[in-house]
Amino acid sequence: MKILLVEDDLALSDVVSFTLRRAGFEVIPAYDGAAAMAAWETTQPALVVLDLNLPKQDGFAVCRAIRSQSQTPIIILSVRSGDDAVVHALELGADDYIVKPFSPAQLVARVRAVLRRAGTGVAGGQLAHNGWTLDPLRREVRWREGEWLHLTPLEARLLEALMLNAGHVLTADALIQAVWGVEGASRAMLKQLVYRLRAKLEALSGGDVIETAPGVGYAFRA
Amino acid sequence: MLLESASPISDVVAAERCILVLALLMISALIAAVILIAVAVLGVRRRNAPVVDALRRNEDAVDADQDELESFNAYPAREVTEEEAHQRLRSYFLASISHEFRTPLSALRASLELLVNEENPLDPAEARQVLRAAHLSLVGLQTLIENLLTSSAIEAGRFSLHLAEVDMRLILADAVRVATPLLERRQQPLIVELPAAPALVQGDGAQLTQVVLNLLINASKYSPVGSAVEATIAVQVKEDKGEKGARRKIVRVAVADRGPGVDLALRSEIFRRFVRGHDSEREQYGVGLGLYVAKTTILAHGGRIDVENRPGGGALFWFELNAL
Repeated sequence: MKILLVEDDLALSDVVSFTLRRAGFEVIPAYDGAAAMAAWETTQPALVVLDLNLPKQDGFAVCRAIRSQSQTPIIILSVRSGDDAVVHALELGADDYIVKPFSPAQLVARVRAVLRRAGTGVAGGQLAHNGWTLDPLRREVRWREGEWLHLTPLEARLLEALMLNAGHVLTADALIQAVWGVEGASRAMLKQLVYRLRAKLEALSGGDVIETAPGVGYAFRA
Repeated sequence: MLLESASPISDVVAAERCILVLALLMISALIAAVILIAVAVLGVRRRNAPVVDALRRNEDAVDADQDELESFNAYPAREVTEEEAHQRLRSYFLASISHEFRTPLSALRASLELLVNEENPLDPAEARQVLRAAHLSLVGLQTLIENLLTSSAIEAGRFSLHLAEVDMRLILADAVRVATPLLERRQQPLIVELPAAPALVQGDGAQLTQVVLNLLINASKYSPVGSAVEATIAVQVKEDKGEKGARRKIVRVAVADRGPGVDLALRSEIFRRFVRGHDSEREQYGVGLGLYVAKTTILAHGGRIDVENRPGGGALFWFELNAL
């Protein structure tokens, strides 16, 4: 699931990107308003995280331009805490407003909540899909009303990325980025990780829910 | 299980804890600094006599443009209209200072929370990635705070130099070390050209480092990602304008970028307080203190500082100091 992150501060952009990628999202960074509009048009993200103080075109203008064309959820991430800015952003169509400094866990929770309201099936910090429930924070998964099964951090991130995109094939590169971040990993490591996760899920439900798309990647098909 | 406590991962976690404590102390100090600086910037009336005196003591020794010196905004006795303009700039400064502090603080807070989260711990590679972002934020904060403190010292008439014999090659090396995280993040190679022999001047090492750092950071911020930044130090012999036929040795430091360049008609403006380059295009945010601090410091050293545009695009900021 793609998130367009519009933040001009490189360090903050890197930390937010890291946080969102670790939560299983694909992040498209943009560092000014004009680049944000170009990226939004070409990538059609599921959600936009948007700073207000931006070079070239400020966040209000970006918010207004996106909202005039689509209902893509927008979360404002800004140092401006005054009522004027908050009210103006919400009136322009922003779905949520987070004041800096912020907690990464709170940001991820807000992203999931906004996506849930937008109808993407993310529920209460947990991911649910066709009988499967994943709690990314506790790194536990269960099938229907069965026992919770603990996952390793890498397994949890892989399953989170797959469930966020349930029914769609994710490329190996996208999964590697979601699981290992920019440090990366080999396809062989991903293959091993899929093998381990697949075995654990199969033990819970008795069926294989991770489909291999040969030469491309994997999909969660429950 | 006990063996795990001696593993590299545990070492990384222990190091993270130390970094966390240091960072929290630093953040506390930052908050105190913000309060003090805000009080200083807002509350202090301009009393610049020591700076003026220092500059005037040096004016016989340099060929700095006297007219430019007198119009420089460190000086009192402005016209009302200029005072009003200054107030507007000050208002802008107060609005932008919130952004400039809270944004890197956000990155620091988020980084530290990720590092100390025991429920979902980072592996060593992830920890390094997060620490790099935190380091980059600290560079920005350090530069901002140093410029604010120097600026408020100038305004309060407390700006002074601690002179000693310094080698500008070492000053540049110190500044490069601080600026490296930004240059690396923006994938900008730094091309350095130095003389083989020491480039000695009588100067305040810390203040001169801040000047060079400000020029490097400006060059990085205004240059496209991936374009080279160039820093050059040269020892030159120049004719002394004050005395016909006389010659003197100078150390010239130049920092060049491939950014949009400078509108030369406004080049004296960009060295003024709270003024930022390319305001109209809003290319970059900042409080507009770096070049002001640089110019004040160089003038107080009896030197010259200016900017010119480069053939092929970009700006070249330079300053000259008398060589020893």
